[in-house]
Amino acid sequence: MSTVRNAGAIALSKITSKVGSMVGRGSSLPGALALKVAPDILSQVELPETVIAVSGSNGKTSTVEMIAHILSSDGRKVAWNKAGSNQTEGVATCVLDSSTLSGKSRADVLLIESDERYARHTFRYFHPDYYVITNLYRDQMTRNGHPEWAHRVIGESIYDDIHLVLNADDPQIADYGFERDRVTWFGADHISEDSGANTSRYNDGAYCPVCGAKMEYEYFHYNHVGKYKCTACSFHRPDTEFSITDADFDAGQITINDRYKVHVPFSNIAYCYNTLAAFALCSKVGVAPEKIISAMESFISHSKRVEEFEVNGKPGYFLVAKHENSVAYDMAIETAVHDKRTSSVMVIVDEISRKYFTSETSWLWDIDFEKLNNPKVRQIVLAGQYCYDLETRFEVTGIPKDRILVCEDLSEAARAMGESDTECAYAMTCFVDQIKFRALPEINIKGED
Amino acid sequence: MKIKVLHLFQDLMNLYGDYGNVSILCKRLEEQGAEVQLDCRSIGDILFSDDYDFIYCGAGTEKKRDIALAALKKEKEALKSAIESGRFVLFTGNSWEMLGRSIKSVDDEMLEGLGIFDYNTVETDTRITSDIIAEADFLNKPVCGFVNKCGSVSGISTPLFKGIKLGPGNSESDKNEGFRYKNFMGTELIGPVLVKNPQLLKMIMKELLGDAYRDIEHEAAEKAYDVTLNALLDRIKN
Ligand SMILES: [Zn+2]
Repeated sequence: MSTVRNAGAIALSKITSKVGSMVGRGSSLPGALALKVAPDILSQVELPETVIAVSGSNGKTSTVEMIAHILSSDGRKVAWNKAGSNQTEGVATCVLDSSTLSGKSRADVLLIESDERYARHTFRYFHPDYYVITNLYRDQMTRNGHPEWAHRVIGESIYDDIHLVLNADDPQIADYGFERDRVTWFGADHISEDSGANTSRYNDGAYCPVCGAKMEYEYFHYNHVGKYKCTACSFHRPDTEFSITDADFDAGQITINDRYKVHVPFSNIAYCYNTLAAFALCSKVGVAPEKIISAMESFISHSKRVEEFEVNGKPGYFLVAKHENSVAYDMAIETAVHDKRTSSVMVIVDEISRKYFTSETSWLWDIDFEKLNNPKVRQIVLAGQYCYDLETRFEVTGIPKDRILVCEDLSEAARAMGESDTECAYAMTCFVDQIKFRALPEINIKGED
Repeated sequence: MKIKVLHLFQDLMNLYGDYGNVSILCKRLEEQGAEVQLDCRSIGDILFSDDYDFIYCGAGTEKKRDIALAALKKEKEALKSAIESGRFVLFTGNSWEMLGRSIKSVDDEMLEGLGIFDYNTVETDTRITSDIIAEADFLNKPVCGFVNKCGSVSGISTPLFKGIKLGPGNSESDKNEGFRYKNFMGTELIGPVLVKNPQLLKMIMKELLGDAYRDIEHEAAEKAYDVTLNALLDRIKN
């Protein structure tokens, strides 16, 4: 009886998927329907030989895409939830799409991008063999609670039989592997760009996640990510099997384990963790390091780097940040400031979230806008509905007022940026407001008419 | 004129830009010509080493609030006498819960509070996040902000804000928000509450500076407040 029901659920999911892809509809509906017909369908189907899950606050999609590319290049059939549908329904769609009607898998590898909040529900039905967790930041706190809350929720998705692949440099992640077997650690060694002090607006690693005592850092890579140890208990940054041993951001290259050089498209260390996590995971599942590197190079040369545009004949670069995610903004700011030319930097906050309405702007105070207090950044343009919140935030940055322009209207803001006597322009905002920016008549996106 | 400001646990209780409350206050006091002494005190420090005019503590995670509470217990009397003598004391987010009788955790553990006030907090597994609009009878405009909490507080007879138009109150049965006693203000609102509510900041500045206070316009902060208030009011309508 249940076999019939399962086959029905799988068929239903497949049909919905087909129809969905024809009319261009979302990718979690098929899985949602299948789960309605057979709630335990995920524990009934036969899974591929290797099941990999990736979770964390930032960079999940990039990491998953890179892993999928490497494993495919190695000749493996990979099923993965491409559209970023990372909740249980999306995972179900992906699993069922890759199964035959009788529930047998047609893929060698199932690769899941897993939402931090939903992994505990998804992994009730099956456990991944490898579970990569990259970082834990303040992220969309209007619905995610706070990082410690997210930490507890992710913890509920970790089972003893899972092999963890963890970022050693993020204490909130390393905590999961503390005094545990079946862990592979990755992290960055001391590199030239590191700082002895935490220069960001806050430090979520100031206190030990295990015992609550103060932590000491030898150095910071960025935010709370670095080399730490607790002043009271034995919790400390573990030694890593996979390490960034050197980074040359002018050449856009990092070195892994003293031997393997690979290009990275951005000029700061935070982005390199995705590459390192992919290297560690693929090594673990048996891909040779040389093969990983060559697949990574082809992946990076094909993937879109920073989006380029032109404003009034001036070269511009669009950096996608995430509203309500200060680390994503800090990374964008770092990239803009790294440019040796004089620049205009535009920050747009027009709509905080499209999916979940909110007017919450506390996160603007977690962003290290102070870093823009740099003589090369000659003009700062604050734009969008929430530009006055930005203006108030900039009052305490110490940046001279004559460098700051506040413009609610995006077109007017873009014109001002084009007309100023700077050599290049940077624009940063989240995905939702990026659409509005791209559509401005003043902005010519490179590679588009 | 010298104003002494104490920022408690700035490295521990700073969940979401809460430090902005102190930054904006100090900046605006200096604009008024006041000399500001800002002391940041946290775990391992003597917390109350001076007679402060303004004391602030922000929101923390539940674990971190418990660490702060243990440290505050050692200097409970100093905090109590600052409150009794009418000093301005602002505790935002879950930090004001520390001053009550008890906090019951998600795991049913009972934690003794400072007992300066009579209220009790009970935490649950459900996280309550919401934008908020509330009336304050000492201000001529409503207060806007955001709550991100997992506790409800009971036993409050003198709330800080009344008449909630949007968002949760202190508990299921209490539709008021926060707690007030003399110049102690406790509110569940998180983040830079004084930045988001220029009228509240102004009220505090006036009290701190007395006759030395001059009216200075802060157009950006006022406009930001209007944008948020109107966006939230629109949402209630729809
Ligand atoms: Zn410890």
